[in-house]
Amino acid sequence: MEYFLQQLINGVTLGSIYGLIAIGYTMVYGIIGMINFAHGDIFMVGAFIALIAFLALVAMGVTAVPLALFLVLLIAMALTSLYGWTVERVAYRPLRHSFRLAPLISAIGMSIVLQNYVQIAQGARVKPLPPLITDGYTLIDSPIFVVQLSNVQIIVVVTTVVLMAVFSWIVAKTRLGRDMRACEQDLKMASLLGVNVDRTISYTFVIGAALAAVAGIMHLLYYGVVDFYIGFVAGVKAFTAAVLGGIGSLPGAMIGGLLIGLIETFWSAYFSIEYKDVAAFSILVIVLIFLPTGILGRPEIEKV
Amino acid sequence: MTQEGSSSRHRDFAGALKRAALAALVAFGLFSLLVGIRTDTGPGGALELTARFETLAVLVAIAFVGVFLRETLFSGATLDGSSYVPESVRRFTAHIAQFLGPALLVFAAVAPIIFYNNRYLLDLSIQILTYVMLGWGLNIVVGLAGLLDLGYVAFYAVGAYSYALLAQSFGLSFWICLPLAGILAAFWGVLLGFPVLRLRGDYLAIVTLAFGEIIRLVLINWQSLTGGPNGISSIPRPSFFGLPFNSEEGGFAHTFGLEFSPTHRVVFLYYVILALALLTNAVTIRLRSGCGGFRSAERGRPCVRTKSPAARSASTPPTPSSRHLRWAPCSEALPVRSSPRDRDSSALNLSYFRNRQWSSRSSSWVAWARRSASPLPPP
Repeated sequence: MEYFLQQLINGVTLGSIYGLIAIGYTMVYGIIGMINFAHGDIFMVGAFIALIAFLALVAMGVTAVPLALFLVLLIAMALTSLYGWTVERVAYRPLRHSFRLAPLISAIGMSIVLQNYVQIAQGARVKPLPPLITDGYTLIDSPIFVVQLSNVQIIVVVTTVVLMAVFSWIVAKTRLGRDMRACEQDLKMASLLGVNVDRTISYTFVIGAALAAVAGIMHLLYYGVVDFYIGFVAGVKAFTAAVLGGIGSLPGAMIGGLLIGLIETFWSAYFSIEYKDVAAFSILVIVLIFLPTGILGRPEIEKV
Repeated sequence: MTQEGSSSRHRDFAGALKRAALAALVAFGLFSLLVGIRTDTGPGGALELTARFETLAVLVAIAFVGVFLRETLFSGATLDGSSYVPESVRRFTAHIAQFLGPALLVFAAVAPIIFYNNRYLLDLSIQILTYVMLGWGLNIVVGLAGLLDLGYVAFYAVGAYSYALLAQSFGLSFWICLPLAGILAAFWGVLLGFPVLRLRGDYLAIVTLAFGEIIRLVLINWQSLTGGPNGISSIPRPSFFGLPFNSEEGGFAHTFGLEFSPTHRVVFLYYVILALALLTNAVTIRLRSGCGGFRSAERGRPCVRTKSPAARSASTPPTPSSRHLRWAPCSEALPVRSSPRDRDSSALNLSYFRNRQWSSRSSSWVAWARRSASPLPPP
C-alpha cells in the first residue's frame, strides 16, 4: 500500500510534465491538423535554456533560489517561445498549402535539426544540475516503506495546475482564445470572418513552446539531468498522451498525460523498468488502432 | 517617375534593413544562451560556463546579412530553384541523364576493380549500396503506396538479427539465411501491416514510428537473446557459394588458383549487395510500370490509400490489399501486377486485388507468389 501510494505520487508528477508537453501537440493538431513532431525537441531546448540560464544567473550572483527560479522560468519561456515561433515560421508556414504529409516530414527534419544543433552547441554529454530544492515531507513513516512527497513534486504539480488554469482561461475567455477556437473549427471560414489566421497559428506555437519550456524546467528540477536526446522519447510519450486523451481536446491532453505518467510509473514499479518505453509505445499503437478518437476526442468525419 | 521609383526603392531598402534587423534580433534571442554560452563538465563534476560571444556575433551577422540580401535581391520573387534554370540547360541535362544512368551502372559494376587496392572506398561503396537498396525499398512503401512508414528501418534490424541469430545458433549458411531473413522481415511486415494499415496519413506515420521504437527497445533490452547494446559478435562470414574466403585448401583463393587476399570477400560482398540493390530496383520498375494499382503516375498521387473513402465506397476491404502491399516491399521479390487497363482507377485496382483477376501476362511464379501471399478464400 505504501509502495503504491509512493508510485501514485511519482506517476502524477511525471504525468503533469507529460500533460504540459501534450497540450502543445493537441493545440497544434486541433488548429492546423498536423503533428508537430519537433515539439518534443522544443521541450528539450527549453530544458537546456533553463539550465544555462540558471548557471548564468548563479555566475552573475543571483543565489536566492526562488528568485533565480522565477527568472529562469521567465527567460526559458520567452526564449523557447521564440524557438517555437521560428520553427513554425521557417519549417511549417511555407508548407501550409502543400500536400498533407509535407509538414509532418518537415517537422521530423526540424526535430533532427534541433537535436543535432543542441548536440553540437552544448556537447553530447549528460548535463547535471545539483538539486536546488531538496526538502520534502514524509507522509507515512512505516517500517516497510517510507512514503515521501518532495518539494519538487509539489512545485511540479502546483505549477502545472496553475498553468492549466491560466491556459484554459486564455482559451475560453480572451480574444486570442476565441480566434484559436475559430481556427480550430474552420480555418478558411475564420480567415474570411477577419481572424488573422497566421498570427493565431503563430501564437499557438508560442504558447505551446512556452508550456513545453515549463515542462523542461520541471524535468530539469525533477531529474537533475538533461541531454540532447530527452526530447524524442518525451515527445512521443506526450503525443501518446494527447492521442489517448483525444487529440484536439485540451482537458483530454491533461488526462492523457496523467494516465501515461501513471501507467509508466506503475509499469516500472511492478513489471520491468527496461520495458517502460515499450509499454508507452504499445499504448500509443493500441489506442491509435482501436480508439483513434481517444477518451475525449470527437470522431472525425472523413469526406470524399 | 524616376523620383517615385527611387523613393520606392528607398522605402524597400529601409524595409529590408528593418526586416534584417528584426531577423538579427530573433537570431540573437535564439542563439544567445545555447550558442553564446557553452557548458562543460568541470573537474569537480559541476558544470562550468564558457562564453562564446564571437560565434554568437557571427551567427547574428549571418542572419542579418542573409535576410538583407534576400529582401533586396529576391524581394517578391518566390525562391523556386527550377525557375532560375533556363529551358535549354534543363533540356541538356535531361539529354545527358539518359546516358548517365547506364554509365553509372557500368561504373558501379567495375568500381571494385578500379578501387581494388583501396579498402576504405570498397567498404564505403558497400555502405552506399546498402543505403541505396534501403532507399529503393522505402520508396515502394512511401513513394509508390503513399504510406509514410517511419519504422521501416525496423525491418532492416529484423533482417540483420535474423542472419546473426540463425547463423550463430543453427549454423545456417549465408545463402540460406539471406532469403530466410527476407521472409522473416516480410512476415513482420504482414504482422505489423495488418493492424497498422487501418490508419491513415500521419497516424500511420506515428504508429510505424512507435513500432520501430518498440523493436529497437526490445532488441536492446533482450540481453539473453541479442546481447543488448553489445550486439552479437563472431557471426559466420558469407562464403562464395560454399567456398569460404580463407587461405586454406578448399578456400576460394585456392580453388580458383589465386593468391589469398582478404579483399576477395569484400569485393564479393560488393557484388552481392549490388545485385540485391538492382533486384530491388527491377521490382520497383515492374511495380511502377506494370501495376497501375500502386500509383497513377499521371495524377501524381498514390492510388492505393488503404481505407481511403473512395476505396471503401467501392466496397473494397482495405486489409487484403494491404497485405499485398506489405508483402511486396518487404520480401522485395513479389511483384504485384494488374492489367494495364486499370491503370487510372484506384478503386478498380483495389477491387482488382480482391477479385484476383490477374493479368494473363504474369509469369507463373508471380501467380504462385500471389496465391501464397493471399490467405483470403476466393470470393
